Amino acid sequence: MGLRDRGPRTPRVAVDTGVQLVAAWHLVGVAAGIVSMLLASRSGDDALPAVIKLFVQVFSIAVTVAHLAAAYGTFRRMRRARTVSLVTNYLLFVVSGSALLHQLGAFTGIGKFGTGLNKAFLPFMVIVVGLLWVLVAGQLLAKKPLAAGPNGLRRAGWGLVALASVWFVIAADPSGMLSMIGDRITQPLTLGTLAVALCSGAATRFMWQRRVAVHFGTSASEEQTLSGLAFLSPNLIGFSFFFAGPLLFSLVVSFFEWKTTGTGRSFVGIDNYVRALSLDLSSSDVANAGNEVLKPGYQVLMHLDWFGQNWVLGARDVEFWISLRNITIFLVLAVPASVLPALVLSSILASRLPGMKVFRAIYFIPSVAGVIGVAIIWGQLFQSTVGWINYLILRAGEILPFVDPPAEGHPWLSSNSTALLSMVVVFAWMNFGFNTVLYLAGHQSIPKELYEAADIDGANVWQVFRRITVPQLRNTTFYVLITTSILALQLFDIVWILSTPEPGGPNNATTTPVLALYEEAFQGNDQGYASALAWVLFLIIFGFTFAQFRQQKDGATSGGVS
Amino acid sequence: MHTRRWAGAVIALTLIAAACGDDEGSSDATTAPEGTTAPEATTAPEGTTAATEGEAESDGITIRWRTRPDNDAEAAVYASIGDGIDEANGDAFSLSYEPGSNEGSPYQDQLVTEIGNGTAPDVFWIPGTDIARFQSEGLILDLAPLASAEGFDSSEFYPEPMYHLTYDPEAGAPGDKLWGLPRDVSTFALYLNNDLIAEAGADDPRALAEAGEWDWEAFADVITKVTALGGENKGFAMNSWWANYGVFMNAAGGGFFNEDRTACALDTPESIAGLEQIKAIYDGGLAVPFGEDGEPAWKAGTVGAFINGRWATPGARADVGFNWDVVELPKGPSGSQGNWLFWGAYVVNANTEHPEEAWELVKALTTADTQAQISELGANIPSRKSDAAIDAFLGFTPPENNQAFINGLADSPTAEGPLWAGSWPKYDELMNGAVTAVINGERTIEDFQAKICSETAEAFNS
Repeated sequence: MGLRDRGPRTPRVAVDTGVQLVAAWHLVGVAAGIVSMLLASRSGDDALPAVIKLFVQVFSIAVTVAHLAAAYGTFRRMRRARTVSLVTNYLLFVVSGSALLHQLGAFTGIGKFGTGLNKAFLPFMVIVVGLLWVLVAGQLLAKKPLAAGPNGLRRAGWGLVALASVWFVIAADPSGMLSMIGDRITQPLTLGTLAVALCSGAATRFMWQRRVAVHFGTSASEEQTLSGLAFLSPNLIGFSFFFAGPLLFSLVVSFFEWKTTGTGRSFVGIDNYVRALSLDLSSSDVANAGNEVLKPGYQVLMHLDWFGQNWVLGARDVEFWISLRNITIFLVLAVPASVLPALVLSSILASRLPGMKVFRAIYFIPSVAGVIGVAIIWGQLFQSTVGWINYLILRAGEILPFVDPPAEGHPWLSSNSTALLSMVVVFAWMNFGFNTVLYLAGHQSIPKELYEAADIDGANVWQVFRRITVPQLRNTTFYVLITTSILALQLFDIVWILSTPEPGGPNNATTTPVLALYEEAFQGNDQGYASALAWVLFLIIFGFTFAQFRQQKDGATSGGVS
Repeated sequence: MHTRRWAGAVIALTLIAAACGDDEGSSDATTAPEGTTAPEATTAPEGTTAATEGEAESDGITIRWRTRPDNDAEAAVYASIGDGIDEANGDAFSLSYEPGSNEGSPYQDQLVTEIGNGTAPDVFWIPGTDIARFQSEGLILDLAPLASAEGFDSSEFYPEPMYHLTYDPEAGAPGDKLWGLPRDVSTFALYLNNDLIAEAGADDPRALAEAGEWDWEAFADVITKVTALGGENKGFAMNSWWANYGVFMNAAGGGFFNEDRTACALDTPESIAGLEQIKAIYDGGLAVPFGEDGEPAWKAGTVGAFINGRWATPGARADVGFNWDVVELPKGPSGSQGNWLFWGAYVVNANTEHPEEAWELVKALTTADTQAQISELGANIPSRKSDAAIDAFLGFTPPENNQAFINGLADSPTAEGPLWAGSWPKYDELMNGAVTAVINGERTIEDFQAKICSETAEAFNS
């Protein structure tokens, strides 16, 4: 992007007049910000929840300050004023434009859009064909600019598009939509939003012009910064609204008792975190003592026998602590099971043996398969009475003389001892193919000379793998370990499907932190506590990843292959 | 160039507007322009607001409603019922049906989220166990004023669900409240593999039930003989959620709660007797392992008897290749089957802008005619106990022995219900973990009896 050269066209608005209008608009913005702030602070608790009120106040202050700075600088013709004005107006335009689309029902109208498109599918296809026709004619015209044929064809194509568009409009019948827009656009709030969007959009467009930049004496580096920000803005705004914003919002929510149903919100400080992490250790005269030996509100997490003394470890949220135990076990088992086979397999697939390309595709399939479908199929395979896994084990016992067949099939998913292990198998099966592809990419960067030298030195396959392949894939291994570990720590969907009808069962043997926080949020109706659990999980993942980064860095600086 | 660009933009916007222009089933129900006041409650007969063909369309009021169908066929029937009510409704209001789904996100979780965001439908179905939770959060409307204003008679519905639907939490007993009307009811039966039972040489459970000899002893004899066939065959299967082991506790004279549902009763001798019976079945290797889904095994023809509700009937009709039927649950030491009365209810969103219209819809959705249409699919039993409704239900075969479900309903079943004095989900979670541990041999029954009520006490305080 960058400044657009308007060429010889005469500007419709003189720069001085335009700048004054923009400055006046900023003053209006200052006034609106102050009014909004006052209204938010004076509204009763019933009208606006405290958090929303706080948000409105902070937003109003930010808007007021930004407009004030822009107005002052614009009037004084300060060099940075244009940048401040542009950023303010651009952000305001995006916010008000999005709000306007929401008020007009654009975001919830996708379903209706599909229905309408379905009704007018035939004319829609004619429009598509017409546009393709125009495109082809345009390419012919580019080859022979003066030929009459392609030009006529292009005109005919546009005519077809125009006719089909009319047909489309008649078939889809926009009266309902137009009537709805008409109803909504006349609402005072919608009109106000429209006015803000138009004014901020016009101000942005005006201030962006080169002649305005010259007027303010904007430097070339500032222009480059603005252009860069403009390029980045879709991503930055999207990231802020859809990732960073909700993330920070969940942090705020975690300090509240916040009902999912919106029926109660009160500030509780760090109580949610204290509740999640509280433990109580008490001694007991009897083995397997119950909750009565613990503080009120605590439940037995585990019984311990230390030096002949019975101890009871209790927690306020037993399920969360059990989920931490489960996910630790899962991590220890699932990450090696997903990474080691991938490392070995990638070495085989990287060879020049015939058919390797087919196998690369086959091994990658589990990674692109839908997790729900995969989990359902694995659930059937694990079924104790009619599942294929037990069937094969029983048949193997009958066929192979050295295998002692079990009396009956093992209940893989309903046994405390094997339920989590079954999840490990499914997770590893789903992820090792993707890890294999990552390792294959890593193989491409290993210098062939190393293998040639090893060959000349008479190294065997294992020595080559151990001394060349593994060290050279160190960076890839680091990345694979990090991403697989994060995936493992966020385990939810496989457990949700495979432990039906009691998610996390049997008897909490497969409960994971994400499952625990989901249940708190949607079944326990406690969004605040669920958010606190999410942040505890975030800190665990962050700490784990940070430790791995440090280890990688230490390994590299102490002479490890990088 | 500028003109062309603008013209292109206008054409594109027009096309988009046109594509969005389908006004059918407008989703503007909750955003209707201010000032569209709701009409007075109609005085048409219950559930049948007068049909006035050719009259003007509704004046902008659209009532969104949702229920959880068990399958696509049921969703289609609900949609058709909605269309029928809409047509019969004339210009009072129009309907927008949203079939709920538990695929991906469970039905109630999605509903709760929508309620929190203010986008939930005006009328929705919830399971009976959720009534207290939704009522205590103030999410559903008390319909009693609307019902009493027109003298609505709810005596045709089964009394067990109506106990909870008229419960007054402040009084601690049923009172002058109405939280909704039951959509349908269901109960457990044993789905039988008659071929397998005959092959095992066991008595026909249906004949035993007919003769009044279908009790725990006879049941144990049948499942033992089927298991003795060997191979993958098992006499019995049940799923691991609360109602399955609950029937044994109930049939032994025990239960989950004390009489007024304010305290745990899992440690009573009767409840423990029921638990011992279940454990004996599993310890004897007579059943598909606890925690495993028993339905695939039963459908595969390797299980003699499988406990399930009426909702399993469509699946059995579609997938089963052997000779199957149902029989009522065997009677336990208490002389009762210990069966459950499962139910769910249509309730009205507390934030609806159109309570009168929503109430009209709730009534229309629970008429005998509407329930007959749903029952025909085989998954549901009408929530009205009228002879006409039952006669219609008995004709929807297979299974031949539909009477088994009616017998279950007639045997003083325990209504699945909310825990008004606490949190049912919490109680269920704690109880289920403990029972699972006992059945799987990780905990003794003595330890269970000694501690279970103190372990579940927190469910009554939350």
